[in-house]
Amino acid sequence: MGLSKKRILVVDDSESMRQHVAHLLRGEGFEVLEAEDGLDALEKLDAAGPVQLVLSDVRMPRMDGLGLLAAIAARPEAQRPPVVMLTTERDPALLTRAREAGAKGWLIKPFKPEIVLTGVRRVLGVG
Amino acid sequence: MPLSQSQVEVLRAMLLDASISVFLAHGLTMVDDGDGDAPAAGPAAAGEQIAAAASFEGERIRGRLSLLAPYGSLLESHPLRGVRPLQERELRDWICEVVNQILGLLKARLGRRGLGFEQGLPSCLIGPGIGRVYAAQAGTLSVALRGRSGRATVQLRATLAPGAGLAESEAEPGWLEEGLLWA
Repeated sequence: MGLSKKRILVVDDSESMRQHVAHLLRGEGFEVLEAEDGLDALEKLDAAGPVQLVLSDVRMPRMDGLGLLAAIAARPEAQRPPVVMLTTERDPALLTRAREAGAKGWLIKPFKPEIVLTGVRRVLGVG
Repeated sequence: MPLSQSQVEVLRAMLLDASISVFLAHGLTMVDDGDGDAPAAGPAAAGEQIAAAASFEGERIRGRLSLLAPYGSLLESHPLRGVRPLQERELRDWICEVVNQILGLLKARLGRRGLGFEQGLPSCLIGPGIGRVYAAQAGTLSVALRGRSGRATVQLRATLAPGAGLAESEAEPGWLEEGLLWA
């Protein structure tokens, strides 16, 4: 599958951060969907067809990132994209919970664009 | 429980460092402009100001972090500056994210000194005279930053539980500041 076919769902309640990350990823040729919290993300996952990666904030209204992680883990395997958290949180206990729940990474905001892009490529196994 | 003078000094240094670091990470150099409660030495701000605040609460510490900044500083630090014109709605969203990131850094530093807490979601405040809302209040630690667009003020109101205090030194962070991948 070519890079341009890789679809990434960016989940963040901050429109600025969401669009910043989406802009970075689109600039690298990824297709990007956006969701403003965990519940919105689940709706997008159900409606939008296959998604190859979810990049999610942790602290959000309605459903937070760890809630989203748990909800994705409960889906059938074929509908379970890898999840990388992108957050200001540096709490080791939260990080451990996320890893145990199946997260593939934990990236810190504020971030250097190359850190996020490298992480995304590595999880997707491209570039 | 009120903070001791030495605790106030440590917190002030942390607050200043976190605030400058976050703006710098988004391409805007801000420098220490002294006590946020003191009158500004130069122009207070170019144009109107905007504010955001987030509360935090833990077993041993709770309080609120606020940021009052010129619109110009938010325009200059917004990640989509230069990509397309930015709407006021986006600057309101952005100041909330800046508060979120400053508080996130502060949380990490305080956690290493034994004062962990949960962050609340930030909210934004706009309108004429907003500077007066954020005028000096008793028990509030305030630092000022100066950038190209004027002066920003970061305020921290914190209360410690009885018997709680800052550990003498920060424990070493146990993992990378940029993050980890398990893929």
